[in-house]
Amino acid sequence: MTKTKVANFSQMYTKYLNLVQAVRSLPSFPSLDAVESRMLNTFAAAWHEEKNITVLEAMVMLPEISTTTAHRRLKMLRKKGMIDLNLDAHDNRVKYVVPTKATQQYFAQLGQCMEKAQLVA
Amino acid sequence: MHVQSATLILGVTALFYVALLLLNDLLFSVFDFAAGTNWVFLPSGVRLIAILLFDKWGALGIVLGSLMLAFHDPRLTDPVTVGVAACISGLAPLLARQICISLTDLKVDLKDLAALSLVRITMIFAAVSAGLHQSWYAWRGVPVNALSGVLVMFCGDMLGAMLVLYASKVALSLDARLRGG
Repeated sequence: MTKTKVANFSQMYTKYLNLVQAVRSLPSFPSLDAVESRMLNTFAAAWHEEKNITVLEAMVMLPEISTTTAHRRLKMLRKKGMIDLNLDAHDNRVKYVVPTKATQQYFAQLGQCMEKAQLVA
Repeated sequence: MHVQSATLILGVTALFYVALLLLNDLLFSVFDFAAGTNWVFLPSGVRLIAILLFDKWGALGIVLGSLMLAFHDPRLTDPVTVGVAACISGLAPLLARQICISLTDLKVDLKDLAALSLVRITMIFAAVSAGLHQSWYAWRGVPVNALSGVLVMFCGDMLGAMLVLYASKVALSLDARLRGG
């Protein structure tokens, strides 16, 4: 393969990688509003410590919002696929708020953004 | 560029363009506004990607793809109108790319291309394509209101390109998951 051919293919591949990067960073749906984002961050702290969060506990974890609002936001988060509800093994009345794969991807993206921000700084 | 590589790029681009054109007809023909003007136009996504990756060879591929289905719209039968429109399909994005390189942060090698820039570039591509196509149609007396045609074609190209970009995003994330990422 000649040097020009190699350079051309190399340039094309570079463009492809840059385009893929841009496409990957297109905003994903669903987007989270400030309250939902705050709730998720609060839950993340508990999940990181491997604590189980019941729905009732989740509703009072943010004292600045009413339980009605918290309940509504929990429903929205579940609808957006950001949390799931698991029944307790012994008591069907108790439901635990658990993260989903989408949540893990969300936090991974935030982590990447923080890393990039650190590099730029 | 080597002849074989150029031919491959031309062929693949043309095939993708034709495929998306046929898919667009299948899915969105109900959203046709007028001859050559659609509310949703998926092939504009192929235009965007082909020009960004392959420059003039991508543009030629698009012209070739357009000519392959030149008379698929029964409302456009004049060969000169159709032929030049096919050329505009390839040349308009090339012009739009130059505009983007001159006026935005788009670099030739797409370095540091951000999602917002990509959306902005898509808008410029859609505007240039709609403007040139509708100007040509108006010049040739194709029966469509020029201003409405520009707006509809702009919407169609934007929507089509965004659909293709998001489909690509989904395909990339599925690929990453399958690879265990």
